Amino acid sequence: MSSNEILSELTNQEYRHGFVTDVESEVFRPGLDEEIVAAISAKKKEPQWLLDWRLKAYRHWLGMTEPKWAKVSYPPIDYQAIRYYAAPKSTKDGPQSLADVDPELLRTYEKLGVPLEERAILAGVAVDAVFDSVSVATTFRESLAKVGVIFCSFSEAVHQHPDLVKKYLGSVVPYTDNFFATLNSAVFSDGSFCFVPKGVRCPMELSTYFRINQADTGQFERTLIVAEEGASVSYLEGCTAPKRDTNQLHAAVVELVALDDAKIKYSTVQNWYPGDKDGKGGIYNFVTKRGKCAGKRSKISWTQVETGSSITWKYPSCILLGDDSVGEFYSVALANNYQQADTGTKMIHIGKNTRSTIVSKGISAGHGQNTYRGGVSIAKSAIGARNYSQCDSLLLGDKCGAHTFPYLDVKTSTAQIEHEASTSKIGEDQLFYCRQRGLTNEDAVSLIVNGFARRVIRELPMEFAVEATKLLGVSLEGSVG
Amino acid sequence: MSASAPATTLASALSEGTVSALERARAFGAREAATSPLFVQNLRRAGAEAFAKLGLPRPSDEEWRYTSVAALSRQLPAMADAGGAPAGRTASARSALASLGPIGVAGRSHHQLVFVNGRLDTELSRFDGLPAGVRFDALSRLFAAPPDLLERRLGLLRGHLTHPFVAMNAAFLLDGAFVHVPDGVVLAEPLLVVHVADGSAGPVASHPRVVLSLGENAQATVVEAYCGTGEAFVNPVTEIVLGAHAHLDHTTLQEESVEAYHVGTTEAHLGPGAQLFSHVLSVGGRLVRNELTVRLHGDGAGATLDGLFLARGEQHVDNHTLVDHARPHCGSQQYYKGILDGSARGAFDGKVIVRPAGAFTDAHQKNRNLLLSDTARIDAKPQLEIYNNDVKCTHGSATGRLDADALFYLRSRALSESQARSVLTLAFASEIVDRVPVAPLKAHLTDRVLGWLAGNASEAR
Repeated sequence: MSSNEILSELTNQEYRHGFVTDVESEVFRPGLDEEIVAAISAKKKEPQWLLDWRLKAYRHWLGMTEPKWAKVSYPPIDYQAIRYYAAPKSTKDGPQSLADVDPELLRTYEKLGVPLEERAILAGVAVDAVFDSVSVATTFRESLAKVGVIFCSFSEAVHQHPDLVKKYLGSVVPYTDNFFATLNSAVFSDGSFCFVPKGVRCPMELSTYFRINQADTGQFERTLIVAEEGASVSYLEGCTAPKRDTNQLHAAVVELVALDDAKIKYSTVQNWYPGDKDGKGGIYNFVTKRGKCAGKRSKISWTQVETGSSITWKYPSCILLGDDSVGEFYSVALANNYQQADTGTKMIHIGKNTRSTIVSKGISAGHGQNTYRGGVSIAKSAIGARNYSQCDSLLLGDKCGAHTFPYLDVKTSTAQIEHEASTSKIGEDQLFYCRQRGLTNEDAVSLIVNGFARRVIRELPMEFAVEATKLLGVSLEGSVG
Repeated sequence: MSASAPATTLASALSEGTVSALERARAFGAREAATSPLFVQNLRRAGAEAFAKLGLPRPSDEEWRYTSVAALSRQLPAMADAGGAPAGRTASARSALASLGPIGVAGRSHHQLVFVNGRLDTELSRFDGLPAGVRFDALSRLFAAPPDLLERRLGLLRGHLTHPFVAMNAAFLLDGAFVHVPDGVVLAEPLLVVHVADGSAGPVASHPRVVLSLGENAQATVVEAYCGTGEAFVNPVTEIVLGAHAHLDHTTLQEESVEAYHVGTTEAHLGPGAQLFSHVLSVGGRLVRNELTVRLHGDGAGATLDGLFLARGEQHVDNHTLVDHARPHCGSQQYYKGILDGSARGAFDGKVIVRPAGAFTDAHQKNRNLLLSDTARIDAKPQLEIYNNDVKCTHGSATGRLDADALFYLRSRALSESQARSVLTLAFASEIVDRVPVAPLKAHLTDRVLGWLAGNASEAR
């Protein structure tokens, strides 16, 4: 088998999470107006201040235009054709424990390999599962509460911890931020909320699993993670959706706040339905993710494996406000078939001696277009700031594209900035070397692709590293780093 | 100057600038029509029409992200008209030329064309003594009986239809240089084209055009130098067409006064196996933009793009490159270095495009910047856009200050702080300066860098 055939075999794998769950759902009529915004808010029995905030965002959104600068193309989105709320019908007061959750839903998550049941204690991961617009289950809440960690769905947080939500909501991504974030601010339905108090090291990995099920809906979740002084938390996020011929919009907002000496690690394995091999269907993943290192010596680390979505528009960023704070971004983005990915990061250095590292690996196959777009900006106040960026692209096939658009803005002489990038295909000499060591062609290609992505994969927690490796369509030999 | 005009919004200022520039362009075209061949009149009209349509670039325009068009537009209404500027200030041109040092002194054996405020100065120019078939002349002298080739080459790259400043240049086309080296001819002597912007008697504008055409297997070295005094708006356009296996070494030296606004656009079209060596060196100017587009449209063509920019005080230098790999087996190397002091602002915005047909491309892009003060600022945007998988492309950009260890080492060898800084800064610049092929030019550049460093030191004191 020639290396081209192997590549096409590797890159032609079917989407495995494309089934539809048949649960009775409650959906709102399509369209967006103040009535819908108010209805979402009423559905969630939200306090007046949050409704006001949503309406402010909605009114601001009306005056905004969709950003066009990204290197992606898609037909115009009709925002009045989308349903902004869909939820599985459940008992009136919502599930109190897993036993109350619709068994059909539990089976869905079972199928996806998400350990919702507490017997999955072995997995050691607390999960918040978000199904369409609502959170259906959050596990391990009691054991987390014992150490003071709050981990619940966003709607619960609004009711139970209104002060915290009010204090931090919109503090990193204001409702005026950008077109999609503003839309999210108006219509966000649910998401996860996590608060780690002073000095607490979260005893287990926290995780949210997002699932879009309903057709014609958009998913607009909002995640807020706050780590107080000296706290640390590692958070994982996974996403899947059924196969459909139409495109669905996913516009999420993630806000992270790290105070003095706090550490937040945020990992994503994004596997929304990417569309079929002719580019039909798939999720538009237009996401705003931003972390604020507000405190001294704080650290925010983003790791993402982007394999799904027909279009990805996503720039997890760090605002390095506190002195000596650290921002990290590790990314593997795969664009196959007709997928388009315009992704990267923004490191905004404001505090003294702030440091950031960017490692981005783009893999393009089929007709995929993969773009790294990253910004490093060093303010005058960021004395002694340091940045290192590396962006590599691997091209598999002759119809795909790989693009690198770094923006480096430096306003102080004491900063040291380095950016490097390379683009290449798998070298014939590399393949030849592996082959003469007795590896089959397939193994050789897997080895090289894995080696290419390894620096990012090894930043992922173990469970996700395994999933990510599988997602890259290649099995990892030996141990996962 | 419109600086005294009542404050208006930028958008209306831009459109006002466009309208007034357009009116002047029409008047200019009508005035010059009698002495210009038809194809030049057509080019002027096309340029004016395109400019009216394009307007000035908006601040939101991604390609103009790092250069304030507003500052330029303020200069426009008063300066757009080149025709009004008095010509023939030979005396001041002489002194400006002298500042170019060994390369510019009148009386040397160079073949040189000297333009003062956009008009040819016959007294300082020297065209004769070139091999048969070689054209090296001023456009204004050729307009009376234009060679066929000029008609085919002038405006060939069609930038005047898409680029606002090239359109403006076409609309105000008055004079410039035409160089043609026929097939197989190798020119040993460098050709020098000097543009003097003399704003000593009030602001001036010029829109010089340089057309360089090399036939198959031809070789030439061309130096374009920009110098002058006082307030000026200089908007040159250089068009380069290289035939198969032609070999051009092209240097742009920009050392105008710190009151000059310079927007230079160069576009090169390379045939199969052609090689372009470009050196873009900027020292002067209040606001400088160097735009360089290289289209590798023949198999196996290659381009080496070097750049060095020094800026201090309130200077602003924006370097823009685009290398278009449209055919297989092409190579490109870019190396741009910037040294910034004071409150200067610099930018490097480079792009490499590899089109689907650009297999076996070998493209590299390097940018290094040295910040000598805490108020200097640099923006770098090295970009790759790749549509073919069989390529080797890399880019890198780094920004920093002088290495503390190296400074300490030199200090321990009894060099003063400022000497040590000069040695290291000169070494940083030498990497580009040393690759300039014309020896007197190399020497002149080294002097320039040293003078610049001395100037910085005295400024700091």
